[in-house]
Amino acid sequence: MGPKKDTKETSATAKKKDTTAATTTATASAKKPTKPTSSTTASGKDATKVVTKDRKEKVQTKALKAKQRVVRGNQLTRKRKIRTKPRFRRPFTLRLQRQPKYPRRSVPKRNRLDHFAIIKYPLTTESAMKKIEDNNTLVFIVNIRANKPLIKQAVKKMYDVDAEKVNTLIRPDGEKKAYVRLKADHDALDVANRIGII
Amino acid sequence: MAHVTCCQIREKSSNELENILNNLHEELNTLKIQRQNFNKIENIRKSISHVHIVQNQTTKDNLREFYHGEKYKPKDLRPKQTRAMRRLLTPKEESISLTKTQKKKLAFPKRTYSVKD
Repeated sequence: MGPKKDTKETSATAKKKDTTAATTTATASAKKPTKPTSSTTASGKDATKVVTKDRKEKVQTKALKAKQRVVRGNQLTRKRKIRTKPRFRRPFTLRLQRQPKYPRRSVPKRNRLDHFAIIKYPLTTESAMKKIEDNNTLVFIVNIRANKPLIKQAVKKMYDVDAEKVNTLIRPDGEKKAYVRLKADHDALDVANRIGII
Repeated sequence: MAHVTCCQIREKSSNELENILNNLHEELNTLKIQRQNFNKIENIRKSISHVHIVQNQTTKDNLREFYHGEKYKPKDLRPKQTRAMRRLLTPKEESISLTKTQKKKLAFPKRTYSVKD
């Protein structure tokens, strides 16, 4: 009630009405018949005035509106924005994140290209054996949709070895062959024995 | 294990199923390296698919229970029907009529007469 009372006092002084002064004191005390305070008696009369509820509300809304107008400023003389460029760019507007009421798919799709599916089997041909002994590489037949980083990860997961690099080619019969060169601290021969290639 | 059937594994927890799956895959790998036992390879491949079947069925059932009675369900849990049938009016929507027509129906129902011989 504090700020309202202040504006009412200012509006009272603006409008210079005795009745408003009477009602400011009226709002302090609920609905009792009021006596104007000795400081605000303009007329010499010591009249007691019964302030009705309607009258009180009317004055309150009037005071509130006056306050709002002061705060808001007069809208008729609003400043126009100065535009220095001929081009109008769309202003940034609110972009809300999605908050779906239900997931479209009940279960997310299973990853069909897991490391079991990537590496099909290791090659055991003579040239593959040569690679194992001489170049520290293992040779695998690999899923054709697998790429080099995936092959690296799969080899690491399945056989617990780090690959230095992976070279791939697609055979004429449609299969992908991957030459996986192991890091220097791994021995391809040992790994091959462990896997069961030899 | 030579052959895993769905009945055997339906009661197992998801962790156990994962373990079974991993074991089956590793067996498959060793057999593929050996390039022998093609019958066994086939058995293991079918067992792997049985495990997947059980996994998917149990998760789907659980989800159906979870969303039972909800207003918004995931689209794969809603009745599939056909595209056109999903877009039809529901029976309740079809039966809606104006009070005017309802009153008319009450006042002037369809009468049946029979002819006296």
